[in-house]
Amino acid sequence: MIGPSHLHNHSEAVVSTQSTGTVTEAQAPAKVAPIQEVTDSCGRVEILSHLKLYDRTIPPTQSLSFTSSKIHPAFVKLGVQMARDIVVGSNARCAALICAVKTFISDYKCPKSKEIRSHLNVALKPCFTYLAQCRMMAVSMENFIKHTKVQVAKISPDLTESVAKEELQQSCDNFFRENIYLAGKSITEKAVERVVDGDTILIYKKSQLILHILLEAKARNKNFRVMVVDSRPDLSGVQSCERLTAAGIPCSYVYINSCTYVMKKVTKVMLAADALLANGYVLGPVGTALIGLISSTYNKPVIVCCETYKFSERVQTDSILYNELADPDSMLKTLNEEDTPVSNWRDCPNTRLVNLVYDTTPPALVSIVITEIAELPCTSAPVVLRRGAVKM
Amino acid sequence: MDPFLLKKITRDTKSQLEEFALYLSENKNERRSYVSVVKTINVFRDLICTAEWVTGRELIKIVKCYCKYLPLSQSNETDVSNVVRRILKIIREESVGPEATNSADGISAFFKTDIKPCNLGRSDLQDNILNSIVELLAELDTSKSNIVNMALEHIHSNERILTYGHSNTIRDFLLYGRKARDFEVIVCESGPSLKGHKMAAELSEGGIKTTVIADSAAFAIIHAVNKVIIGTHTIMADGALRATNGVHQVAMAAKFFSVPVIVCAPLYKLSPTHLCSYDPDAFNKVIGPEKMLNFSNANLHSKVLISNPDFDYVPSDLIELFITNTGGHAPSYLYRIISELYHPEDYDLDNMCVEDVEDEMAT
Repeated sequence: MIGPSHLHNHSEAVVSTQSTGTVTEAQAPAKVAPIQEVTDSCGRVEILSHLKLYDRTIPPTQSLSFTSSKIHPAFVKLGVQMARDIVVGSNARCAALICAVKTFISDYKCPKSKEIRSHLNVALKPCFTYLAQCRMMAVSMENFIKHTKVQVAKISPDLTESVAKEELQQSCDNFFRENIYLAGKSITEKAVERVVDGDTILIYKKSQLILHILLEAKARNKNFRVMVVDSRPDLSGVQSCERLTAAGIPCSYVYINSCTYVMKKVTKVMLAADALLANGYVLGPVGTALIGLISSTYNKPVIVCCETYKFSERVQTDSILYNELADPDSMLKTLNEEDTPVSNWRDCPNTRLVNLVYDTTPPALVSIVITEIAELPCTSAPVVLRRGAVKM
Repeated sequence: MDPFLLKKITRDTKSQLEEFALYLSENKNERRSYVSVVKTINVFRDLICTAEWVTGRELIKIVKCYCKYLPLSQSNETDVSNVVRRILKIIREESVGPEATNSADGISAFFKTDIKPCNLGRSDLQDNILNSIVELLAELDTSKSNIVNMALEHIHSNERILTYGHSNTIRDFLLYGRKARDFEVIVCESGPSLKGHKMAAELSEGGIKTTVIADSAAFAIIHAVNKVIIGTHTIMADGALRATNGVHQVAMAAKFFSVPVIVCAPLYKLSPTHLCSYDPDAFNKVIGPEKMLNFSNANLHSKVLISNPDFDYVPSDLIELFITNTGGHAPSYLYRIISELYHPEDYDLDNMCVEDVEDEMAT
């Protein structure tokens, strides 16, 4: 479970490796050289050509120089961590971003002629642009950035710089505490009620929140089994199995192809979401929609757990309009390091590999969404968004 | 071996039959069904020529006795059982004689379960049976090309077709279509065996723009696809499929978005059996999980139950069309084809007909 101490440790780790970088006087928003995008049409699928595909053979930091970069080293490091899949998961990425922003704020010195509340946003912009170019931003990160911009703009001009910086860091901490840590605890409380003795719960891949719920249920001496469904190419379900067996929860493990084979024995399905869209669609790791479809066909309840800060105003009806393309070469990874027949796909003009990251599940396939404020149907997403907008 | 059977067959035939039984129990996963079907016909052709029999009924009894020694009850062997049923039907038809088969229309022939003796001697009967078997072989030879030649009736230009895993029939079907039309194929990689990769390599060599996606992305991409064309291992009697693991959910996603699912398969894959249970013994086959989880995760292997089923049951309401060597058929029409291909008494190969049981009781 990501707790405040986790946040502290991460920020320490980030601080220790960088120098005392200070953001110098900024001119007009600097143009950061973009990460190399694959622009030729070879190897691109036409219906997905609106999605960016990055050339991963070139390190993201290649275009940055040591001296005059506008990007704080904390963000440089974070960008590389995101691009290399070292930091994964919507909550973890948002928490890492919060740490990086806090570090930035503590190192920030406002130039004499400018006000902090107008200048800080301008100074942060190239950092966020750089991050987006390393890896597409998750909805959780985007929502935090929106929140930060509003907080910065709200700073009273009477405050001194150090007090303002402290306030901003405090608001970052509050964001983390309320929206990730406490929300997670609240969701866990509600979701654990749903786990009864004798259940077989199906989970998909690895989600920090779902694992926390299951471990908490086990801690409360509930008697249940878990069916872990995994899929290529990242196979993160193995880590779920490890965590669950270490806690003594009996597990089964299948690939997503066998989901129909095992679905008869399952009593509940618990899924995590990367975002909830305003029209009720659930954005999750690719494969979530298939599991939702199979579960609703076999009449198993589908429980989606999602913190409210991940609710997005975006609307979409299919999975292709807004998506992320991950590294296609990771699809070539086999367990025994063999070559597959398409290993030389870059030499064949007719072969393309597509590694989608997200997919959207229609609200009809989801039974309930558990958030920290209430247990809702998917279609209540715009109500929550409005409530959040009013609060801000 | 059964003493009755031993009496009737020569030693050479016996050793050949034992070799065949051994062949069937090995190499299950890599064996092509067409190859085993041709081998089956040759083995039974030899059996018909060399065994000791006088009437058609005796021959049927010998064939059925022999089938008890083949591992036909395993779910992988439906193509072999279907061919044996075809051979039995040929024997029955030839024994009844030409007038009976010509005069009877389809429905009453379906209900005729007895074999009226006719006046043909063994050599004439054997000749007729062997001629029919040669025709059967010719039909099997051309079954794939008949299916493949229908490609242009089912693929239009600039289409996006989704397929799953690897199938020789589908590959040839799509490559034939490529000769006249330009279209794109999306292949699901079909983990953990990753047969889809092989299919993609073969298709792109043939000039088709192929995209490989993970199985989990099937729902995400299927709304942008025009049709789903898949092969299958077996077609069940009600039009359901026993196909590669993972096809069921692709068919469900296709139904959700109203994308038609087309199955191309030759008729020797059509089996007159129904699904009675989802158990691994009755329907499915579970294979080793070494492709799913590394041996370096050995600490997990002992604590986690890992399942790697080989087949998937796809109900017939998810399938739009079957393309077979006799043309395109709706799933609801397959019962009629079964009645033409197989005799009701052969649906269960272990079943002896009433007169044989009486004979056995008398001796």
